[in-house]
Amino acid sequence: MAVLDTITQETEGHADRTGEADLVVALPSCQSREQLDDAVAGLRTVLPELLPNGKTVILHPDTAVAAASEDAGPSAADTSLQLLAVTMAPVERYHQQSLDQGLRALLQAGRTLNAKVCVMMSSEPSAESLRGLADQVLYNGFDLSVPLYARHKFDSLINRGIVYPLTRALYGARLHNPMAADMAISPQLAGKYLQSQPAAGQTDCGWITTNALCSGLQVCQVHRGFAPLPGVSEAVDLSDSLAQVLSTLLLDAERNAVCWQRVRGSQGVRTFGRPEPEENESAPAQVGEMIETFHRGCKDLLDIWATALSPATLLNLKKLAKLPEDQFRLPDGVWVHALYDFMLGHRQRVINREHLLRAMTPIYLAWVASYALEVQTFSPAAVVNRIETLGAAFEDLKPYLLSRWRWPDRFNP
Amino acid sequence: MKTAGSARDPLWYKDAVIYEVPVKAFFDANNDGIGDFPGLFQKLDYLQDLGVTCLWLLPFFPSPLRDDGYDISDYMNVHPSYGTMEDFRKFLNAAHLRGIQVMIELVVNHTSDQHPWFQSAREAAPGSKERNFYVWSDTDRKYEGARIIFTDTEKSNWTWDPVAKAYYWHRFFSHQPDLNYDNPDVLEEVLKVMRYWLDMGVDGLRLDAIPYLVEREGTNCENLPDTHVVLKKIRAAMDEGYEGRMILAEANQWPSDVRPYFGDGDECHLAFHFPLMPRIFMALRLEDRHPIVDILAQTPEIPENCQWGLFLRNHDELTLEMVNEEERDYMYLAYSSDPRMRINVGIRRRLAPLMENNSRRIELLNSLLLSFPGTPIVYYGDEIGMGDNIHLGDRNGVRTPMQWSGDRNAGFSRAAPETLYSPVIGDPVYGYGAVNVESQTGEASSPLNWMRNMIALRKLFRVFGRGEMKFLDPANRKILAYLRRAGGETVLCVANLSRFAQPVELDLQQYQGMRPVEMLGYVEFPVIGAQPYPLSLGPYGFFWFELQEPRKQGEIQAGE
Repeated sequence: MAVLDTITQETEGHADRTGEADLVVALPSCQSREQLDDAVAGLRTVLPELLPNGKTVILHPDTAVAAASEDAGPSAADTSLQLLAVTMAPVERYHQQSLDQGLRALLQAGRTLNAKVCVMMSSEPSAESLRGLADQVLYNGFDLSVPLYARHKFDSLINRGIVYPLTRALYGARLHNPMAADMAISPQLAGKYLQSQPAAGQTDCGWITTNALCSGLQVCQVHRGFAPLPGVSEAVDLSDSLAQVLSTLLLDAERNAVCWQRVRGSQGVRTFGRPEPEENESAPAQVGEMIETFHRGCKDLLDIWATALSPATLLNLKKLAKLPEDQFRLPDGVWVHALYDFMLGHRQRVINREHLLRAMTPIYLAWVASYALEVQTFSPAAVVNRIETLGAAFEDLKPYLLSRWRWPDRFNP
Repeated sequence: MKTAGSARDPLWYKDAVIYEVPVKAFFDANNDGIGDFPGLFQKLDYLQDLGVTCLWLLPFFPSPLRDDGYDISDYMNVHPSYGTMEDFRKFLNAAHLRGIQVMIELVVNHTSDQHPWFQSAREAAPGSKERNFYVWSDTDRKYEGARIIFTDTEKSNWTWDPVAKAYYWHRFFSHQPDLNYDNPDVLEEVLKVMRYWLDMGVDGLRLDAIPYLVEREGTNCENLPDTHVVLKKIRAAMDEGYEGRMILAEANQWPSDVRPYFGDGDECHLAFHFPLMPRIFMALRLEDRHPIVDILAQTPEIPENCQWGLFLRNHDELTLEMVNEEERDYMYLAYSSDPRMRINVGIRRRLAPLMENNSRRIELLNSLLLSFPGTPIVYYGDEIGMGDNIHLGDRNGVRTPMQWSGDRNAGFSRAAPETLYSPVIGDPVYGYGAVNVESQTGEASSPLNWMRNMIALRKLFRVFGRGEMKFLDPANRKILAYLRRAGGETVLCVANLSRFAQPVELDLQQYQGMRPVEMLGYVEFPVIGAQPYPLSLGPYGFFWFELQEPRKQGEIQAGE
């Protein structure tokens, strides 16, 4: 996956000359001419309906498609759609710094062009997706609209096991895809995001979703069917991905401590569109390797875990390690305590932060294994309920996180 | 070239936690026995971890050092003992990168008698522009209504200069002649100095001794209207050229006399609340909240963009100028059993020895410092409970080297001990073997970690920096209880000034239905009802509570 890296001065000048636009769309994943042609052709079909008499500017990579602005779809006479080449750099999913840079480029272009909505389409540059997301900002008064994907029960488990419930507990919004790479953004949110300059010495100013939630802006989600296949290379290491996601979430939590420490409970988020029809899946869980990795972690990483985890949580993990596969269940409370303890260890820098987060991989795999064994026979609705129960556990234990955040002390239960 | 200040919020100083630090005392990087800017640079991580957001640097300019640097001989340079201008710039940038603002001293009332301005003045013809940089007289009988401030050393505010063949005016030491603000060239030169440092990116200026800028016959030469004319010009010049900068006024005066230094929000942004400080100590010793409540009741409202600067201890004596005679006598008896602890009109001791090293007392006072309305200022070393040395002259006993570790020279310097600018504290209770950063860093329950946690907690609640204060009036006067309120957020603070456990009932009827949540441990207390709210506090105990609203309709509690 790629996102915009930075908008060149030349491009900013170009944006300036373009005048105004109602809609600015970024297509960072279009790394070839063919991809761009297909995407633009698709998006054009929806524009007359989405923005009658409106003007759209599409930002695309300036590398593989250098000549696109001349003949990639719109004719010279067609002033309602304009293509603009910007500098792109391939980055991995969840990489906050790069996403921040990409968003900044998009939002700066949006500001220059006085756009009514900016849309980032990193993973799914389709007409339906554009309409679904942009509609809510253009016509329903939302400041941020993100896709809500249907998931197969074993998909997107970092999101289900960590990102969603943690975001829900911290920020009080039941937003199912808080780290979406596609989104539509209002000028108000764009302004706030651009205003919140990264602090001196920092490279980013946080996840835009939490920016919106902490600013009290209106956020919604839009059913988008099943998620497109991620562009992440198969070779990407789980520890890398997990550490990257956790790092993003935890740095954001540090930055937003003043905000989330005042949030209690959670509320649903307005949701648009139709959910994908439920499909019963019967997929037997293959968890042997995961449990084996967890066992190895218990043996090799105990010292590192002990720097962050409370004695009670460590003891519970040791008990878990003794269970046979058919009884292997990680209680929600233990999983949440472990995650919160890592969060606090990260904040206190008990050891090198990256080492600490990577050391969490075996515990995460234990959760995945436990979850997979538990839900393998569940209906889709039961899986949804299961994730909601987990989210509730994150909320129930938030006072534990708060107390230890406010008064860090190793002398814990 | 003009460098922007590091703060984005123009009211950043309201939320700041300021750390007062003398460069010479913090860390010696070149091992010559004197702390320096490269040393301070090396310790920025420590300061960032502590959580302070602004460093107040005591004077570091070239000086004969006869008044610890407040006798400046060159305003636009760094004293060679502390490093170079390049070292200062490097430090400043590094502080900004860590989100830490930097405030320096602008000593505008006087210079050193070694300053070229004074040397020119004494040689210049009477009535000339050069001569008129300072206040001269043929007699030492002018301005007799002005008191002498340094009563221990000075007999008059006039000193005869044999070169000028005239008396010159000085409110402090005789080697510190006062500048003459009736000469417009003086203000121009002072503004040049100010712009020089602000251009570099310095975020704040502490204006030293500002009540004394102007002299007028028939007055006490303090807080005169013309002084405010000067200050407004300084502020206007700052606002005209710079964003996000701040001026802190040092005016050791009664609150009603300090109030004009805020002007209509067009003079100083911050001013020390001098009278509050001794009354905090008095209230603690008397086990009675009255002195605190009384002085804060006498404290006038200040403009929206202004703020009080609060402190427990600083580089000077615990000044008793702003108490009455009886209160002063009490303070001397209560806190300076040894006469050597007294100097001028005050007590030259650090916080921990004043509290007889009682951690609960120290914590209680710091809890007040961090929760009273104003910007807290922490004096270096007080976060680890450093002691003092009353055998050193002047106020040097509270300016000893920072105690970093149990190593030689307290880890402050690798120089030979006899070459240090000051001996380190070495006694068994407060000495560096017992009290140092290294050992306290590793100890979760140490004073250092306590202070870190409290600073972090304060920073989570903007109400402390921005909110209004309202005292409660429980029958038990050993209990100090007050509300801090801002933007729909309410914090209740309750402190037990007594050495014994105390009960209290608080009238919180206005908050009926709300739930106090103890802030340190996020512990929910019983909901406030129609009856007085009962609490018990341990010796010197304190509570900070968030008052949480009942849950709103539609808000879903996990598990419901």
